[in-house]
Amino acid sequence: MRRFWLEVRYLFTIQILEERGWLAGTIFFTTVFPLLLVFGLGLIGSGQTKEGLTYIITGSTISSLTFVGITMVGQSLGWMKDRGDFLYYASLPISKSSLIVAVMASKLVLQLPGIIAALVGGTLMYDLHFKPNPVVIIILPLTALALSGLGAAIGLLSPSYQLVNIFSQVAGITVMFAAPVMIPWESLPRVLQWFGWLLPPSYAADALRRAVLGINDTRLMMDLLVLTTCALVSIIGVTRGLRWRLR
Amino acid sequence: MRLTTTTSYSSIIDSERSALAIDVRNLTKKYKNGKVANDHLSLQVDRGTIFGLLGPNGAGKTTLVLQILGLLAPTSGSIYVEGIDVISNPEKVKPLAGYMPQTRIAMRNLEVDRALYITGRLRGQSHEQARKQSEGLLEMLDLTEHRKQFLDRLSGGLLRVAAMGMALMGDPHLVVLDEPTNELDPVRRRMVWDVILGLQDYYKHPVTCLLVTHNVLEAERIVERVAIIDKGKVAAIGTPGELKSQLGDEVRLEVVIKPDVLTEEIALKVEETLHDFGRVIPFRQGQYAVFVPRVGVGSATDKILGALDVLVDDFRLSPPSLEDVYIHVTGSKIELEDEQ
Repeated sequence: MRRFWLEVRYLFTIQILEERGWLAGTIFFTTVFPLLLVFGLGLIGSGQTKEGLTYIITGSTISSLTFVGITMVGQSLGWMKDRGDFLYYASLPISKSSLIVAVMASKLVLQLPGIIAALVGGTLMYDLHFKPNPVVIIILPLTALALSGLGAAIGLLSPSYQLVNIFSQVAGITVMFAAPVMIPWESLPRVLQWFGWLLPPSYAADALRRAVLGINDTRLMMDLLVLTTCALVSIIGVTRGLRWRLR
Repeated sequence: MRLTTTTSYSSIIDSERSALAIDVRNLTKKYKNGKVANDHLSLQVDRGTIFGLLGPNGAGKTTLVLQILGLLAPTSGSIYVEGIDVISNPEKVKPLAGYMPQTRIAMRNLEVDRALYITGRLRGQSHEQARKQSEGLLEMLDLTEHRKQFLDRLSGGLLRVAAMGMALMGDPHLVVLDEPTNELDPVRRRMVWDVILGLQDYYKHPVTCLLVTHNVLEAERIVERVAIIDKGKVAAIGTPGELKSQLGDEVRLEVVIKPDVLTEEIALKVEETLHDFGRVIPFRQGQYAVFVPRVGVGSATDKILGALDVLVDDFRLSPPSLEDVYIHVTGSKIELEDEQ
């Protein structure tokens, strides 16, 4: 385990240092987009009620985390494979899971200002009185981790980087909009209501809503349990299911 | 230097094959598109030797290397590295092998010294081991003045040297270098060959070096054994001396025609003349190698020079080189980089 965290530490360092040149631009865009989403969606439809605004603010956070877990992890690994960097990582005596966790964590750190801006900015913008539970800190990485297995599979198994882009975006959008992330569960079509139960963002969104509203109940614990299971399945799936093969 | 991995290998090492560094048998790699990159290829590499892999582009050298390193699954056949079955245990080979790929290297936005240090840490070294070795390698590879430069800002040649440094970090028992001297100036090229020659002393244990190169003339001076790969198969294998003896008792006579007199007509006439004395290989415009029997080489040289007379700019006699064997075996002209 010590070795695993050491690998994560250095692989995370590489990912962050690689981003140095365009760090300011990345943080600017990852911050502005969730804020605009909260502001824009808050003006229409269900955004007018407190419940609707809670869905929008927490939904925007979960959509950022879905983007991190699936799209960013998928594209990072696909890009590494496409330009040949992956050969370096594949030739090292490191575990696949440490690379995936490091890539996910580095993308999460870059997305974090946007996530905080959406949560804090949305709360202030609409004068909502959230009582955040510290469990929020656990929900963020768990959600991204639960989805990163899918992102890694897309990044490593797609035959070309163009396909990684397409698949990761389609998967990200599908997983997000088929789950009750922005829209309450009751308002979704019946098919999606059932399908939503299979998707980690449903549990993540529910957990985050409860956490920001200060609700500490069994449902929150169940949500966390499901997310933890999904995160473990995701990492074990990547470790066992994907081989360090180049072609 | 100490092997940093804590993995126990005793249960997975095949004792019969562990005497060899690399034991590849009947290896075939067929891609999904139907292309056969390696075709029932077999080769054995003794531990602690410098082994050259030569062959034209697309011959299947890199595919072979990737399979030896456990990075590519073969279609059939067996691969053992230091007695470890690579196909069943690809992850077990990685702590033992340092690899310098021919293509792009990772960590392009990191400084040279940091890239070396992190590679050491990821290869299982402690902070002190990685720090000490990266400092030593910066000096050994003459990278000290470039240590704070980003890899991306280095010239092509320096980037190759830095990539070699990354491959040497840790305590490898097998070092695989794919075209290590590409884009290097003559001074750095010599330094790279010296480093390869000194690997055993550097690590203080037998280190096998698998060298993939086009730079045949220079590699010839350091490789102990060579395999020439052509169309996915081993076309020839042996020591440079054994391979050169395949050319028989011949001497290479190189004839250079004056550039200002060279026309298509003259070139044809020169080739016709040379053909009377032996096998002719035109290797550059206006430059020909004629393989003449050792007995009577003096009179053959006199006759050739007499026949071509004023057309000849320069000539030299030498024993056949590994490059000649390469051309003889593959029937193609090697993509010479800058071996002259």
